[in-house]
Amino acid sequence: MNKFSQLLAAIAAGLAVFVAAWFFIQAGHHGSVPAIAADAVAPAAASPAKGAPIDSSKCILPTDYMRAHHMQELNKWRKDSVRDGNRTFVNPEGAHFDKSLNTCMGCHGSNPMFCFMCHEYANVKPTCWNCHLSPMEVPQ
Amino acid sequence: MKKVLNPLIAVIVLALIPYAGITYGKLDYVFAIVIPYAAAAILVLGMLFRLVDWIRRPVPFNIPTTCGQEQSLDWVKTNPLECPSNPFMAAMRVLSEVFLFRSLFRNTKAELHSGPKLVYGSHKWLWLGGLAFHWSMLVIVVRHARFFLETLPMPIGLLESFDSFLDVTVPAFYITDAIALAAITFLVLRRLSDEKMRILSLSTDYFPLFLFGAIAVIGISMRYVTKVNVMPVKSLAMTLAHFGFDAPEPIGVLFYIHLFLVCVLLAYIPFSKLVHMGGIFLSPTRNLPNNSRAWRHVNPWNPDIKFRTYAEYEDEFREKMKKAGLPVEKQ
Amino acid sequence: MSNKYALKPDELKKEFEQKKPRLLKGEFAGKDWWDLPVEFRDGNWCFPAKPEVLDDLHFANPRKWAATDKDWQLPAGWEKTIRDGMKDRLKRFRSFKVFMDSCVRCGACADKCHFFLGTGDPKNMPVLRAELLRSVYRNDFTGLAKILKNFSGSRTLTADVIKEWHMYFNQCTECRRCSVFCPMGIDTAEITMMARELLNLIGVNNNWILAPVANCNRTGNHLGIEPHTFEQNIMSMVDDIEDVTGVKVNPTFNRKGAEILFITPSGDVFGDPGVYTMMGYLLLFHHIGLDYTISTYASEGGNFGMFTSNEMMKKINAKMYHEAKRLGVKWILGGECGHMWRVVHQYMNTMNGPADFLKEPVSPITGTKFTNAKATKMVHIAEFTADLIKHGKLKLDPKRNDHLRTTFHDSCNVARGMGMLEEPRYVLNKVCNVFHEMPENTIREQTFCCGSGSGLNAEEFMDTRMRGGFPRASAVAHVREKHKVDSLVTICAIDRASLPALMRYWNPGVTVYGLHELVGNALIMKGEKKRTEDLRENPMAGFGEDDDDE
Repeated sequence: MNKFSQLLAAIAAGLAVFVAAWFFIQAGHHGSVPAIAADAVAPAAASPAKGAPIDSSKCILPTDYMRAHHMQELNKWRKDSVRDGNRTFVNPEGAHFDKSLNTCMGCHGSNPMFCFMCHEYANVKPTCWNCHLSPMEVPQ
Repeated sequence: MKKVLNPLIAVIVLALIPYAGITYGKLDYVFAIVIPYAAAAILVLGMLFRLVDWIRRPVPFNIPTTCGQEQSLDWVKTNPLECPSNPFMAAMRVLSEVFLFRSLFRNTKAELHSGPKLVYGSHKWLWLGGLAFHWSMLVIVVRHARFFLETLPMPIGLLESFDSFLDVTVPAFYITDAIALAAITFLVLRRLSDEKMRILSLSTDYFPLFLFGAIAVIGISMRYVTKVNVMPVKSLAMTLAHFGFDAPEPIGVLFYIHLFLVCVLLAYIPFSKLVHMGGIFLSPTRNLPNNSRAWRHVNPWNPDIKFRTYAEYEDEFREKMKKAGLPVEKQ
Repeated sequence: MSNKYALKPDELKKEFEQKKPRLLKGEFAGKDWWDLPVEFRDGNWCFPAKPEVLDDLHFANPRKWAATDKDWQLPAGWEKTIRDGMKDRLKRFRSFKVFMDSCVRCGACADKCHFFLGTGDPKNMPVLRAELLRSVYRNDFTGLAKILKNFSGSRTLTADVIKEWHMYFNQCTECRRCSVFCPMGIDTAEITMMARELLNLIGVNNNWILAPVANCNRTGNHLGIEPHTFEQNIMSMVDDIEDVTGVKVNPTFNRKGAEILFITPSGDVFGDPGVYTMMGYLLLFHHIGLDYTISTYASEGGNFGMFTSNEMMKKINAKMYHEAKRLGVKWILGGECGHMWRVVHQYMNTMNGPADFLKEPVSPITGTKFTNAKATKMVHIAEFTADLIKHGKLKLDPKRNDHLRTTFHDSCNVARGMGMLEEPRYVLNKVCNVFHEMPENTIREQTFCCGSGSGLNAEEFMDTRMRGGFPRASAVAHVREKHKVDSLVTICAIDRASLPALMRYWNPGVTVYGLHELVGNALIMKGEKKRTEDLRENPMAGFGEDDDDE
């Protein structure tokens, strides 16, 4: 084997392993979190969304999933609602939610420390309060 | 190509250990508490041992490599950094090596042209790649302080906000993540693409690169793609930082692979070429001032050597010397 | 140039043309460096020291042998000798230990070595040269590496490894160029010095190094010149000087009470073209009326002990201070030499000092205090002369060197083991009118070795020498083409001995000079006759018998 093909083989092998590792990781990811079917469904069900009732007995998605992914869901909600005008979220169980921070605050606002406890603990500063009033600033 | 594949396989096998251990063995405690402490202990004790071991060995001679004009006559312009004449400038020289990789900055590439003739071009890619790798790794390590500290000191907070100033993606994208991955890729590829580098590289050169690569890829994946719940991670980090032994709450297996590979890396440092992080401070060609004619450097084991004295010399050659009219001590 | 120890220049040129732009010679795909065979052939090894030389020095394992022998007749238990020797040196030299431990094999040094550039042999890359030793170190002195042998690149010490060491640690001139580029500051010279010490423990050696060492010990100089011959030779130079200049200079020998002891490499006393440099010194000292003396006992500036062991270096060097003390001089002035100045600058005072019996050097002509030499009390002649010229103490006519178009070759040890770069250039520019620098990657701290330093200037080593000198020759060829340079000026005795052969091989028509030879040419001496010839009795340009328009 000449040196060039050796080099190519080495690069290919390296890439293959990294890609394999990536898929391994990705596969694990998709297997362990709920599928977000709602995303695909939401646009179709867009019209009756306005004023959809807020089902406040349960969170939009399972708690474990929300702990790790809430920032991404919120980010998506912001984009959908503000930029695309799509304001309704339908979760896998079929419950409808208004894509608004108020939806979250409807339940979690009762404890003004809800966000801060974890965020302070983990030393993570969310960008939410750059625009929104934070629960700490809202008189109870 | 076994030299490249073996370390790659080694890293994959290492990654499978915590995967199996957590998934099938439920060995969370081992991977969360036992192994990290063991690794940290090996790193600290190992590095301490290495440093003490180095420092205990004497430096018999003052042997700086002079890379510029020495201090001599008043009117001759000197190069105080490349040819330091006092310990302070020698320290500056070492620091410029540590922080800026000054010697690598000089790097050239030689090529043989017709004639035959040798041509040298400036070749700063290694300098750039090395600097990018080391600095981004440092920033990434420092950033991890947010897991281990109750409140984040201001400088680290600032560092984080600089690192994420692009403000794209959620969570905010760290520039150093990309730089580190790019630099690791470059450092691997340069070993593979150059004929000389292929011959001189050993498995132990690829292994740490693959290890760093795997750690970085998994870390990045946990932050941006696969996600983990940060709270148990933080509480585990706090436990470790306070030398606690509380069992961790459940965390994803990916996190344990990340942590385990970091532990492997920490434990590997004192026994491998990665000790260069200490060695650079102790390199006698860089950390000594070039003042050996002005100040006597003492060799603690300076041996007693019997040399041929003038008297012995004259004894052998006295007659010849006298004949030649050379002065002698004894007639 | 025809020589059974070297390819003809055209053949070697063809080899380079065929492999360009590659530097490596041969195919190495899929091979590990430790599997590459070691091949001794005419021109790539130096003759071993003769048994009587080893007896003289009380060195190990005197015998008749050659590198091409299958069995090198290593002494019983040589493995233990090497291992113990290595352990001992790792203990005594932090440099050795740190350099063994902290190489990251980044490869920055790979194409910096003149022997690698000239031979294309991968094991001449400084990193691999060190790995030859490091692979054994990892096997014998580190824990983990031993278990994963192939993984960590460690190997067992065998007789073949010794052969490999002998080959490649004698293809390193301890020039330190790699160490300039190394981000860890790893100095292959240091590793080569250790390896040669180890090899000497089991009688694997080089006659071109050990014979001078034995000579120097007995007669005071490498060439084995006895005192009366040494004196006669310098006195014959005095006659030559009188022929050329009409001035009779008056050196003294072993004179007590002189202010300054002058020590230069013995190559300047006996070798061509070194003798012309010596004539330059003599003229200079006469010109300024210096109160100096030359010793027949400390008659060697150079120190081949440096290429043998630190103990031998000390033993040979001890004569300088010993003689200075006996003669009662105030300080020592040293001539042009490379490794001599590495020893004087970095080792002498540590090994044989403190020199309390000497005074802090002060130029008797200008009153300048050489504070940078206040402890060692030895001044380099280029520093001394530069100071004289700066103070206008020399009457110089640089036109007398107009027949020379010069460039300057920094000697490795002076550049990288001392840091003297400006003084010789200052002097050169004051004594000649045409001076062009070689390309910047080949001068100053990046200077290339002549290819024959550190005791490798042997005739039978010609092939490797001509290859190792190729980077220097290539740089000279560049200024020769561009600026018609025909004179290569050096401040090193080994350069003066080896570069003429290198120039004849690669750049015919380029002549090698010592710096002070040009000083001697340019000096306007009191009471001189009309100067028409330089010290080599070659006609000067514009000073002929015919052109009286001067």
